[in-house]
Amino acid sequence: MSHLSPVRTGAAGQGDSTRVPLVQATDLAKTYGAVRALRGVSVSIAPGEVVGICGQNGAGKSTFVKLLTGLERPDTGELRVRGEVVGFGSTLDGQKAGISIVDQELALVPQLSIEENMYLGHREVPLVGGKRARRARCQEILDQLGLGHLDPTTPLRYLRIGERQLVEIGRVLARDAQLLILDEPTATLSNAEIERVFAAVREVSAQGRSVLYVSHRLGEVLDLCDRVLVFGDGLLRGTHRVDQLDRGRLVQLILGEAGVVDSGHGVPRDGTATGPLELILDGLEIPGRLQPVSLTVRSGEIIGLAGQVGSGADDLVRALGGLVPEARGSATVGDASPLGSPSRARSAGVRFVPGDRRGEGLFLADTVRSNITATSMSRFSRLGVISRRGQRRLAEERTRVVGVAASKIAAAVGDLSGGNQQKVLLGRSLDETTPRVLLLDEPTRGVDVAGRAEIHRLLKDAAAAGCVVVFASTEIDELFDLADTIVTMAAGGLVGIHDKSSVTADHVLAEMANAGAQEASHV
Amino acid sequence: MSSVLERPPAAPPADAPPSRVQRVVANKRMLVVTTVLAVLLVYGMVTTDGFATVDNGRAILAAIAITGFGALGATLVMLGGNLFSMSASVTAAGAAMVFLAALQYGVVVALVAALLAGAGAYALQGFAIGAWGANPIVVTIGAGSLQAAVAIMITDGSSVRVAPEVTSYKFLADTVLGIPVGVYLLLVVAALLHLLLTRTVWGRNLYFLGKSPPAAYAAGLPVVLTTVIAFAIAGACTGFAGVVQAASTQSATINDLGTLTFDAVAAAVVGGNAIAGGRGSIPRTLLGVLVIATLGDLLLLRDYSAGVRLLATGLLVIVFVFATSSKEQAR
Repeated sequence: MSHLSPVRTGAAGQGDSTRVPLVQATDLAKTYGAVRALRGVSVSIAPGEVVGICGQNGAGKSTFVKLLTGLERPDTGELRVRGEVVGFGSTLDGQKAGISIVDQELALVPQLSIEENMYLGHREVPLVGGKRARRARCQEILDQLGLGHLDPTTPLRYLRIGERQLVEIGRVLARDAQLLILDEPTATLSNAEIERVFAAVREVSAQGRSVLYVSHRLGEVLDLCDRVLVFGDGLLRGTHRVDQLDRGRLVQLILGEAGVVDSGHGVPRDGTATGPLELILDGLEIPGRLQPVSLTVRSGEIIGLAGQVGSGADDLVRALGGLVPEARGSATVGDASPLGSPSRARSAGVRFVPGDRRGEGLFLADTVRSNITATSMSRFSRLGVISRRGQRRLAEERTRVVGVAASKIAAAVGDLSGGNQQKVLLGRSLDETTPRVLLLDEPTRGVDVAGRAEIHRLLKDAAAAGCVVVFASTEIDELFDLADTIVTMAAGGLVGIHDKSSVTADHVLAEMANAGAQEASHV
Repeated sequence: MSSVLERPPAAPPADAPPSRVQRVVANKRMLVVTTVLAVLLVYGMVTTDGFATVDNGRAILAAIAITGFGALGATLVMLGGNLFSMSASVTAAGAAMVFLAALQYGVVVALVAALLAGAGAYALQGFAIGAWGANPIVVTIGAGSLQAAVAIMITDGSSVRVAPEVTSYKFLADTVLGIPVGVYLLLVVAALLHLLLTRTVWGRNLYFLGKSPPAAYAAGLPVVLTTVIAFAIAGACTGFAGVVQAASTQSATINDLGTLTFDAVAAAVVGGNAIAGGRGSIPRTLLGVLVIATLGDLLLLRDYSAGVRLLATGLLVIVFVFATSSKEQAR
């Protein structure tokens, strides 16, 4: 590894940028199936530089990061680290080359101690010895992150979520990586904790190491970074020096030509105030995760909950689906409450379509027929005995409604495309007796463009039939395509409630990025 | 639980179809079990005197009734994703004691009482597991100790016997056409269970639950009720094993049937039911029971000790677990 780490500590980052770049990516491209996730991206990162990455969902940010860390291989293109071509086959290769990532998902082991976690997967830990040095280094890193009061032997599970996130950052620091990638590192942190992350990043940069900072929080990017890479549609749309940007300009760059989102298209429907009140939330909260939310929704209304990771948007949807037993406050559908358990939610007329289709939604090994009828077997059974013909008939009817080919009815649902899987889930939820409330978490995640349009149509049809639709989404386009009312959320609380026609994408994005989280919500 | 709120578009990599593979594997398992059985039979016929006789065939069948009932119970527990019940032996022995003690009120009362005792003991465990998410192994070990304790306290450690003049139950130990009544009963119960599993809402829900507990929960399926019913029926099956045993031995202590827990699970696993739940069937279990009974019989005829027989069964289980577990995890 010695040849990989020419000592450059202490060198001022900016001055080096003209010399050998730390990382030089040329024309990286990656496709997943039919989706061209990344279409030829070239980036150069100088030692000591802090580079922000911004872009909407599906813009190619995550793919780019995965290629850098060796989690995925590029289809074409070349990656050089300090001038040497690298062909990453695994994250360990990435680590060897001095590239480490802090993922947005915590990848720590709660049962292990802070120190053990910090050296988890560290390739330089010998089987024996070096323990004292590691302990000292661990303490040093904890001090640096403002966690000096913690004992390195404390099991991680006793730490708060924000502290865990800091430990995860510490883990990357412990690796002496030359390029640190932080992917949404602050989504779960308090302001004081965010400051510590900033301080750590600045110190790393001062040592001549580089940082890639992926975030939806534009304020943080503008505060912390030297440059911003703006991704869109799998392309690098531009590289901009932060001192020549402000928030408004950055939002425009991220949204690209669609900067003014066309809110007029879609099925034209009556205004939102016509239907009777159907769903009433009164101080619905999840202790520690979601601040009290009050909201009234009319029959036929589509509510889009706009929020990033940790905003509480998905928590709110899950709570309404009965999946968060610790939820407090009140929610009523008609005069029943969906809170407490999924079966209570069901009997209140609420149907929940999970964001994690494969884990929480479908029975992957089972057929489409079996999946699409799983929750309505009473419709084709008498005294608990199933009529197979009745089941087939119902499955045929539902696949027709949601637009899944009849030929697929006996196929295992795990073999289907993401779009078709989502349609099966929707078909399962759209009982003949239309549900009163349909909840969705990321309704079109992993769904291609055509499937997405069809799913949007189905949801609008359901709403036109009087169903309340509430969905959580991180995608600005989807929010404007689908919702009548956009509710922005950040940091576990409601930020604003907007009629779609009277709000701009900039405004929504700004609120999602936590700009107004501290203000009183206008309920 | 945790949701990845940001992903590259269409992340599922090329959508490797797990289920088609699985179906082949599932069928292959059935094939493997059948092949193993055929090999055992042919090997026995060719090499072992007295194997290919009508009497020996009856001997094999006679051995399957008790294990068979236990295995039906184990299958229900396993299908719902609850691994094994570690209390099968104790519950069966307890049911045997209840049966013998209640025979004075007539055989029907005694049978019903024994099955209810088994069903009740299991249903409580099913509730703890289904409603509170308790670990099935721990719960069933604990429940086993409790049941043993209660039985010992009531009987003061002595065995339960039936008065010699009571003969109403003797038909259970009879043979018809040379085959024990217990085997006919096993086939009837197995057929009923097969119908329950494949044709009823409860059966489908049990499979769903075994395949993906989070998906079953999120869909609002009746998770607790389904689990409790599965355990109750499994308990009744286990109780039936005790009844068949009691009818032939006419006395029972809590330590009888000590190997039933293992035998039942072994048969279910060798039959090719997925330990992780969600896949399997009653016919597979019956095949597994036959394989283990045939293997035991063969070793017995060849004069191997009980230790060797246990060893062979254990090895068979381990081989089957290894052969199938990697595929299961690939799900």
